[in-house]
Amino acid sequence: MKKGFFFSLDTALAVIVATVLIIGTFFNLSKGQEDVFGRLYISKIANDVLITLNKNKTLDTLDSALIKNRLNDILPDNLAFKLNITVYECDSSTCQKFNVVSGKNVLINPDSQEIDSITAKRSFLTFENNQIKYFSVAELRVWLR
Amino acid sequence: MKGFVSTLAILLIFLVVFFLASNFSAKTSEFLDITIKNLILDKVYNTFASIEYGVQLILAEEANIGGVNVTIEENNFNIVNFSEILPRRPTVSDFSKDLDRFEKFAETKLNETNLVVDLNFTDLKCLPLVISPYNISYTHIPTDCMQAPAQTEVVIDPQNSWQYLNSYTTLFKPNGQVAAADITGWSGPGCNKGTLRLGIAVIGTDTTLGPYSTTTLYDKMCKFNIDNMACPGGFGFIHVIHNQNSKEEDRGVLSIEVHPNCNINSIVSLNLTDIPGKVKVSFPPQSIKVKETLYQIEKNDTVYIFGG
Repeated sequence: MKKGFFFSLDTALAVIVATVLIIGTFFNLSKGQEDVFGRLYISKIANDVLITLNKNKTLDTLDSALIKNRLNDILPDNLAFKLNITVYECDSSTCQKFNVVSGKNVLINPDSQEIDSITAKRSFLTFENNQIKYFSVAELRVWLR
Repeated sequence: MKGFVSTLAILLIFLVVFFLASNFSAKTSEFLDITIKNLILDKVYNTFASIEYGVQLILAEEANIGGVNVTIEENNFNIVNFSEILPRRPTVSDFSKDLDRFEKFAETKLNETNLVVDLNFTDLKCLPLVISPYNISYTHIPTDCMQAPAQTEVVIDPQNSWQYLNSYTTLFKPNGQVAAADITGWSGPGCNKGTLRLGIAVIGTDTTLGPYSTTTLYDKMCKFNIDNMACPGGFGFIHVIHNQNSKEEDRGVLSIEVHPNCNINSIVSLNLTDIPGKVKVSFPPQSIKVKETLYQIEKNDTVYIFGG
């Protein structure tokens, strides 16, 4: 009776220690599974693409088809994207508030299913007669296909 | 005894595996932290860059950096040229209004959770420009530029950098006749002495006056007056004054005063000895501040016109 009890206790302790160590090991190893470097890489691509489209004046056009074509040309094939451009204008000459300009916003691939996407954001201006006409914010979401 | 050794060996193996996994986890966390910081650095920098680019566009779109055209010639010497209409009337300029609007827009729409955008464009409107690495400022007075069209003065203040300054060349192009103007020529305790070269020329619709040149002592006054010029608003003047108060601390300071009756295309050229470092022209420091509050990552800088 006494011998069996100690044997069982010993086994139970061994199982507990082994379980704790195994769970701890898997928990620690699982941390290495997150691909953060990949996210950084995609983020850099997304930001570079927005900068390019801003500096070559493509974004200023607010032309959905043109912007979509350029994005398809520039972005690597293994990346999917969604672009949302919100266009604002001053509410009055004193510009106390910024109102969204209806009919000007650009939405490209709005219904795409995002998987762990990265967002790049950039503001840009549209000029008319050497003065600011619209203030816009472009949000590009990019993820691996 | 045999069982005890086996148990101990298995336990040790488990402990080693656990230790290695913990170590791996710590390294991964460190890497994760560095990568997240990189992502935030990129975000802060990209937000800053998009605002800086917006300001550059506003200034360039609305006539050559808000009315001032800046060019640099780099050779054995660095020659920096500023061209604008004097006296400056900034209150009527659209770029000042657009800067205000853009400042409001960026502070409203680019602020995010943990990302603060703080802009100070007030100092930009008067267009003080800084030449680096000389720390020479090209400024306008009054410095708030909010007053009605008034006497405008341009001061170039070399502070401690006066020893790199070799000459000033000024060229004025009034859109009117200049032959009848009164010219007193270079006068003052510093004139015809020293090594700082001063030059002035006026090109009118009827004739060209000058170039008149002299040398001056850095710490003494030397001025050139052109009075009773026929300007669009009546009679006016151009006064070019080096070190107005003959002060040691004002060595190399040049004031250009143009009467409010006039609208004169003015070019000021500084000839500077080349020193290590790229020549840059920027607005005063700390015009754009973007701060990430969680990791305390901040970019606080100015807008560069050249060499940024």
